[in-house]
Amino acid sequence: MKFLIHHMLNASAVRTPGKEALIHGEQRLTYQEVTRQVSGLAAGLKQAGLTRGDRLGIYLEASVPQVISIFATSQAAGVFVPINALLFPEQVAHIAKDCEMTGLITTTDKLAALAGVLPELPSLKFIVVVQGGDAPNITLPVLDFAGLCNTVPSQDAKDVSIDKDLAAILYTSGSTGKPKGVMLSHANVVAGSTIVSTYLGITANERILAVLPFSFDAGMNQLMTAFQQGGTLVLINFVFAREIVQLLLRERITGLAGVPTLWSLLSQPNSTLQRQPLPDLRYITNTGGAMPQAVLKILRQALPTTRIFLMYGLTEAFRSTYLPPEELDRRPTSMGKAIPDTEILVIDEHGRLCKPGEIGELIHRGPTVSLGYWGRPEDTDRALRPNPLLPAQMGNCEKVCYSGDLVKLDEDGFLYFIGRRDTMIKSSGFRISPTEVEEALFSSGKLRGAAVIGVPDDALGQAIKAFVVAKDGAPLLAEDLIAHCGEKLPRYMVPKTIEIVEELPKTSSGKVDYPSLRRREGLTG
Amino acid sequence: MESAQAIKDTIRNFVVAKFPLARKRGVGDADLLLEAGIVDSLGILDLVQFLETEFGLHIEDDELLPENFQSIDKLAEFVQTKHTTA
Repeated sequence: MKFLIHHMLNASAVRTPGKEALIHGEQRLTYQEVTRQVSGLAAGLKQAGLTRGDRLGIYLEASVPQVISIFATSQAAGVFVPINALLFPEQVAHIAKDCEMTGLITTTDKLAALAGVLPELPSLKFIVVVQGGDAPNITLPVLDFAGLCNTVPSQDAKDVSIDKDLAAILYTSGSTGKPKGVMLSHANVVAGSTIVSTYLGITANERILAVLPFSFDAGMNQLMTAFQQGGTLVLINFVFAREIVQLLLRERITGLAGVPTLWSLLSQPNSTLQRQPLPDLRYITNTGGAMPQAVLKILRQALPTTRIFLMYGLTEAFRSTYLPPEELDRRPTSMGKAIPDTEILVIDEHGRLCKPGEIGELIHRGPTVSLGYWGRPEDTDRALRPNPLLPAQMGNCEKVCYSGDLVKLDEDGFLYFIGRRDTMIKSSGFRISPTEVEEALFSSGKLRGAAVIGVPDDALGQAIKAFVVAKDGAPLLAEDLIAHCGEKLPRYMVPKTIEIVEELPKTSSGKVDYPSLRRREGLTG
Repeated sequence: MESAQAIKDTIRNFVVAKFPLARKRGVGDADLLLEAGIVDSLGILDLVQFLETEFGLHIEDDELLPENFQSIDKLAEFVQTKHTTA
């Protein structure tokens, strides 16, 4: 039975040990080699002090060690916490503190950058570093990744976890405050992988290019589906979009998942994608925001034999809907329908099912509904609630996920995205909380007021716009504030534009009137 | 045609205005923009658009190479080469 995350890998290794599993640049690993390193690292992590349920942070760029670490943590009965490599020490510290991390796998360079925040993280017992070089002088034990991978696993190492156990925590933002950790069980991740493999038709012949980070649910799912089905996963670190096209060609990639920003990059007028036939590319998927229609048109022309799947998911429920490629002509703006073994309900504010055309909140029920937010029972109770449509006799036996996304159905049951119920911003596939950006702006010490909204942007989905009020009418330059944010926040969170205003509009209760700011930008409140 | 120095100054002004890290840390003409994380894949788009409109160039996809974009010096050289071959 394959019910834990590492079972998916191990089963493929038994079926096809000599098959290419993982490729990164010049490194090419077979399934046998991946499982050997995973088993070694799992044993090494246990020796280092990782016990069942302990959280292990993985703060690495896309790399072989990153993949090995994810599966080894699962095999060691720990909980992996992938951390986006773009994050700054301050944000990494928030995650480590929030989930009371036991260990952290990172690089020597990143560890040096983190040295200043380590004293704030008393839960950390050990650090594992990937590349050689001198580790900074810190009091914690610093272990060598390659050395740990060579640990000889004990013969009687048996799985203690069951599929209800916590397997991963993915940090994501909401409308307020700092990122929250969404808890995924082994069952969530295995179900997500099985479901997505089914509707994308993923087999052992698949060669998947992983462009999205594994700290993002859709990115992680690419890794899971590839290993579950015994396919091949190719990793990339890129700056130029053409590097992606070159790799698609060289590695004969069959599947690629992206967010709208990536497709915008690839469909630029001068992009090689439009001159370079890619006969092996069987499918592409979009998630993390609506694909702009102009971009979709270019992709359909440039990739005439590739099936295009528009998908929708939120980390709290992992994956939710997809539009079958056959429907693209008829409903190019639809989010599609529920993924297999999943039901999507559209519910109005009175808890009743919406009729076609009526706007309501998207509610997700199925095996990928997460376990909620780590350490935040109240937020969890808001997002995960009893199924409102079950007969009373069944009690509260099932939790469903309230997405906060407003949608409507057409007559044939296809879904369309309308907007958010709250002020959360989605930019280049990332969820961004306005308050976190506002805090960074305030930390400049130059402001009396700050309010942040999302405005439509062709390449980003939404771009961040800030309205600020100077303290005591002091002179203020938007560029200086942007530079200040650039130092405090990862790039995707830095406002694209800042408008200096005399006063922010307020509601009768004295709070910032965000709908009025949005109307000012020509958007519906 | 603009002088090499004028081209360099124009590019530097744009990089400093557009990329917060460049402004904060300061950036020398030979400093690595890509590896230092000052310019990312979306930033490249902004840079390309700027170079095309500012200097009246058309940049092809196969010219989007780290060699051409890795520093302000290299960007200025690239613009000059484009001008002389155009």
